[in-house]
Amino acid sequence: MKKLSKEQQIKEKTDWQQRLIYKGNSIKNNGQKLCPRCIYEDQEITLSSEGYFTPCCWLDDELYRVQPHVNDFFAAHLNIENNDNIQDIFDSKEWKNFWDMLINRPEDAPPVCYEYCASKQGDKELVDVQDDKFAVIRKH
Amino acid sequence: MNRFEEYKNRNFKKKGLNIENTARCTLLCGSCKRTTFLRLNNKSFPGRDLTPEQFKKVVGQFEYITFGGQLSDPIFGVHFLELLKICYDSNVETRVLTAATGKKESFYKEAFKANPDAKWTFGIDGPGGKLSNIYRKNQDGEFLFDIMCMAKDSGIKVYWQYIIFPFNEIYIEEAKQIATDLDIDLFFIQSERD
Repeated sequence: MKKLSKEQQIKEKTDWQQRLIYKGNSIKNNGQKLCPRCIYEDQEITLSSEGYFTPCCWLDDELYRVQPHVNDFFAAHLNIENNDNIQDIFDSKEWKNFWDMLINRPEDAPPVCYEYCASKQGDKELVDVQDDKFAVIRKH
Repeated sequence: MNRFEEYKNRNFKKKGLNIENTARCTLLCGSCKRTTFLRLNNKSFPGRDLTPEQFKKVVGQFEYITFGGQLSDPIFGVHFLELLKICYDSNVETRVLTAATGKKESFYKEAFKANPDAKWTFGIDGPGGKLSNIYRKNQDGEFLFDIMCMAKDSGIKVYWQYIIFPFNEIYIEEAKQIATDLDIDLFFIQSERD
């Protein structure tokens, strides 16, 4: 892996974050409908190695934390270490606001939601099954 | 029950939980978010090991647990064996996705014993593990392939996940033959990731 200088890292990270925002916004601006997998499909909730829950594994990526709502999941009071009952985390205003936004104001969803849940990205499509032994899966 | 309550119940009483039980991994896979993080940051990968005490808070709340290895590999969790045992004792469906190497064979024997019902998916992108470290940098693919076979022989449900790349396409038929001979379910992944 080629090592980058600190300045290069900052620039590349900022560029990357901007590209991801652009990607999600492009999908949104194209009129693609948001259909959150965390609501309408069996998307697993994720518990990160830092002890924070997110509605999906895609949000557990520092490159998305500059997007609206995403950083909300990483507040200290939502850490598993600071809660005896995890239901308190899901009952928090941060989680409730997020659900409310996805259901009632999807236009306010962060670009990452459009990137994965208004497009085929993240889809796993079974394209071939042979003799019940082999399967070919297309991962978008 | 309003839509919100319905949603909450559906999500947290029946859904699965994907756990990053550690921050460690020995691999540097080209398209992994972890590899990107390490490239863009002057620090080690953040996180810590999930403890049994923390794990007990979640284990009964979800229909199944996936030790998913999106950003790390579950086998490196300090408490991984204990967590597997807790799942088994709690009768919770357990899935393990692994591709990294660095643990000894005896570790896997203990893991399979800790939870004989756990279903393991091994990421090995070449027949018998050959060539697998071209994408999965640092992986000892042949060792991991032997571990997969050992798991199968121990009665563990195993899946072989094979990402198709230009360098391993020509070995697809060979991999199918090996999987048939070993009676292992083989999944080929056509990835559209950059």
